[in-house]
Amino acid sequence: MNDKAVSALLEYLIVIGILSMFVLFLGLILNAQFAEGETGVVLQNQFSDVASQVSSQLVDIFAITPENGRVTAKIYMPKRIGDYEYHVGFSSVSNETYIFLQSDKGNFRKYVGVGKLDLDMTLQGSTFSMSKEHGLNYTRTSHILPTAVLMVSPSTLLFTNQSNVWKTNNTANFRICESFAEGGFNWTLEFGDGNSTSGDSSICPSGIITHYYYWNTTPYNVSAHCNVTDTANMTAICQANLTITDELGYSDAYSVNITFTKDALAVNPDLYIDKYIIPKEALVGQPVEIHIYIQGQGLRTSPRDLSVVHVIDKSGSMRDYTQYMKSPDTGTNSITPTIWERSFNISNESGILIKAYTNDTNNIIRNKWYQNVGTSSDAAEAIQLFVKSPSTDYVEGIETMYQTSPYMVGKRFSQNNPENGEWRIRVIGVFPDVDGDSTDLHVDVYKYDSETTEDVDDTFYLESGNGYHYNYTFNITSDVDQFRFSAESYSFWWFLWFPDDTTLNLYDPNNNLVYSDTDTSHTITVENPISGQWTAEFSSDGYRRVDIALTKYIKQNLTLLQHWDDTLTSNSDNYQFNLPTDCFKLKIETGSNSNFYLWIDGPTSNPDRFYTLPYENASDSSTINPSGTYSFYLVPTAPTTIDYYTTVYVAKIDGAKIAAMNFNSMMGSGDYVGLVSYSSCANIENIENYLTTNKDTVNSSIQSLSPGGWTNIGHSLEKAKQIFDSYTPPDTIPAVILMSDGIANCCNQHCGGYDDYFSQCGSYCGDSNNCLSEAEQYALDMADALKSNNVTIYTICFGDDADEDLMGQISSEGYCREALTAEDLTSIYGQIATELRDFAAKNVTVSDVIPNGITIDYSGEINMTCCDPLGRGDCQDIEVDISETPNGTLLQWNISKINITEECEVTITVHPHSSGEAIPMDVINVSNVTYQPYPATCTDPTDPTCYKVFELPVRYLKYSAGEASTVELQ
Amino acid sequence: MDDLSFVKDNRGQVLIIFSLLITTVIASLAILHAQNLLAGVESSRALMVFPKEDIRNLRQIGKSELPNYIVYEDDLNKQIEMLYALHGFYGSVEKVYEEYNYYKMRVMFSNSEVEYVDIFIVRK
Repeated sequence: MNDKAVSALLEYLIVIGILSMFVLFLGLILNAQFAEGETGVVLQNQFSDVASQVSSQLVDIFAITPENGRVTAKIYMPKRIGDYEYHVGFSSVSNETYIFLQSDKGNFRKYVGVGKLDLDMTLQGSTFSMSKEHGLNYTRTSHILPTAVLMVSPSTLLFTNQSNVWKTNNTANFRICESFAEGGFNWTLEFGDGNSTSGDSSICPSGIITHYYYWNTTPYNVSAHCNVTDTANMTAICQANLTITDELGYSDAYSVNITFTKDALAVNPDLYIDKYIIPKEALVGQPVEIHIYIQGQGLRTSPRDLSVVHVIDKSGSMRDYTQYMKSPDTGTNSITPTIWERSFNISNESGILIKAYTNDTNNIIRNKWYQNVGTSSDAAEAIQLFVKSPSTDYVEGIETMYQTSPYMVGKRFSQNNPENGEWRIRVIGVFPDVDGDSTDLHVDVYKYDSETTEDVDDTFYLESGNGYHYNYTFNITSDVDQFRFSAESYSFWWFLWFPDDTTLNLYDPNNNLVYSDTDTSHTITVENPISGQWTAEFSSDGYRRVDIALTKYIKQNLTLLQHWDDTLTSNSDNYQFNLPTDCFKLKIETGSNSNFYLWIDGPTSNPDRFYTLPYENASDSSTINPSGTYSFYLVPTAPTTIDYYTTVYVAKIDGAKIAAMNFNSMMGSGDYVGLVSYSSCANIENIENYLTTNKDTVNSSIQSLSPGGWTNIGHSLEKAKQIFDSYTPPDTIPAVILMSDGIANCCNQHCGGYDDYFSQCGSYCGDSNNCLSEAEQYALDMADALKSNNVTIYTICFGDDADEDLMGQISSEGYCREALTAEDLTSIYGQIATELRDFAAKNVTVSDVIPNGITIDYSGEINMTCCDPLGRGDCQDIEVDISETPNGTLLQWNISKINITEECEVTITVHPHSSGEAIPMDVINVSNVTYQPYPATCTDPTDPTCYKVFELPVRYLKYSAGEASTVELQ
Repeated sequence: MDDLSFVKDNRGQVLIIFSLLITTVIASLAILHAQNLLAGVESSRALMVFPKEDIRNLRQIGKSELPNYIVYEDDLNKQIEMLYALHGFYGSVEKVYEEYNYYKMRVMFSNSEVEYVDIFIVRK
């Protein structure tokens, strides 16, 4: 028996068991201490890495979030961390979305926030670490809701009786194409009178829906369906409604009001103002357009009749030139002549002679375009000859051919020892191309063997016995190609001979006068002379000695080598201008890069002569340039293209007359016009009727104005005031248009004006400082007197020397309209005529405060554009003033005037910073339009009753991420 | 039986066993530590390689530069595709639809990491 308590086997088992327990315990401790603990740390770090990767991808996707599309981005993650596989996904806890990561056994878990991204994206999905690929898939589908916009012009309409039917005199023109809908839209327009029409957006962008309104004679009428405010005057307001529906069935509506009346006096001109945004609902990141639209409302009818007094400066400086027109307005015209061109060959000749000429005696050269030129032989200018040797460039044939029987004019060219080879000839016709004008052309090429000269000198006397006449004769043979005849004459006094005039008439053998002039010296060169006896007839008013010299150039064996008969055409630039009134001065200048001739065909005379510019026909005291149409014909004199421009000048007083008469032509039958002209003193022209509706009478007075004297602006305004004080036609708008080209330098007491201004000027005008200051004060006081009587004063500064400061102070507008040329002057008078008749409001200030948190896109211009849909006048761009205020960015536009048919619009592109259901697009109470409504006669800008304030409607934008923006983790 | 006594083991079996155990633990820890070092690499890489600017450029061409772009649409899109291909990407900007007051544009981008498609409206 073993005395041990346990056997060795049992002891071994017990020890092994205890040790196993110990090892197990130690292993667990070590595992927990080293493996699990470390794995946990690593898991947390790796989970953070994966979550950060997902998060950064989300942020990146958000940064480039598509409006309508998808983004797929790959996610990389370890398949196992430690020995753990795991899941990654999005989880929502307490309305917050987290990225969660969890080991597959669930013992490790991590949540990472995604900030506010879940507000703009729906985050969903999960992935398992053992999956083959992982990724984020962002999808967004959106649809821009339609925005309806309806415009109507004119928005005020007049009922007129048309065959016992009361119908609007014009159509209301509805524009719907400002509306916006994705994929186009269908529309229905209810006119407000019970009638409606419909269609689709295929009518855009130019589609306009027109509609006449009736008072009560049709089922669709204003009296039954609109808001009638005055039945007797048929005054009512109709609301027109536009509804648009897009391809998905979403719709939007817009309304406008239209005013009707049969009594134009019942509706004052005013402004229609609106503000809208496109689109009204947008996706985050999309630009949004804010539109501000202003339309002048009113009726062009009798209550807009005018009483206008022209005050025209006729001081001495109005004699100066001013530009009347320029052609072209900018840059240059160009013209290329028609060129006749041939060639011939020369081989070992002693000399050649080339003649280009016409025998045209009746139609073009002699009787039409060269009939009044300086001398008959100048008609040779109609043919221009250019010759080119084999090795040189073209040279001009300058020798003139002229003979009368048979008639022959042209040019010739001769060359001794000509170069062998091909020679070229160019001929151009220098005459206007009118009605296809052309002439016959003949070109001869001769050769000759040699050239000799023969000289004759002689002296004779003009004596009383033969009446101070003497006929010298000489013979020209057929081989004489050219002769030169010169004569010098002298009178005898105290034993000395002094040069003195004689008259020479040179006749050819057919007794045609070739030359005629009176001078001390005469030189005549005759090319291609007719053979026979020539006669030089000398005469004088006293005793003379005459020395003559005759040289004959003889070409031996002149033989014709080549001959062409053809027709020569021309190419001229033809244009016209019109002088509406007789003018003191007319000057035509040009700038060009080559020579040309110009024909001017005036309205009364028919000189048809050619000029090299500048042309000038001027007088300080009489209107020597008759009114009417002046035609220009401009022809190059060299065979090259020329670039040129032409400027026409008239006297300033001529330009003023033209502008004022043009203004009168724009006046209606009910408009009154008067005329004050001034220089050292002012005069009321047409004195019998200060203001008259007979514009012809006023125009006659305007045409009779003549320049001269100083500039008494004060007296001119005093006379204008006298006209209105005498009689101002009722229900008319009184206005003065004061034009001046200089400074106020006169307040002469002899004019009979106020005595207060004569202390320095006295009886004289002048440029002394004291006189100038008194003259200015005189003018300002007279202007104030007119303004206080509600007379609107427009001022025009004509030319560079006008006193813009003084004229600006005189003006009701606060500035002087500048006219540098007669063209400007006419344009400004036209603008004033339109403005006086048509303005709906003046001094319009549009203020729009874009709230903080909205970025304005300044990449494009945000100027307000004002245009008249009827095409009257030029469009004007009003520049924006930008300033920062506590409420936001203030955008402001200042418009001096808006006419009743004018429309002004500006588009501002903005990007809101954040999303929202109703983001206001402007700040209430500070976004408005202030203006002086018609008749805008109040003069105190601080008077609140002077101005009308229209609060711009606040438009709200729904700015969101779209209806279906999701990110799925896969 | 004496040979079976653990207490009397003097040939190092226990040491060997414990050494193996400790080695295993240390090796596991080394692997974990290596993984630990790698943590953050993926998120950094993702931040760097995401082609935000390339996609923004395409969108800008499609939106801001649109008026000029439309005129030369065909040629320019080919040039854009070639330019992006040089960098190993695909990128294009195309007009897919036109109304009287807007264009509908499609921007596409693709590389090994990201695919992007967007169709948006640009007002005329």
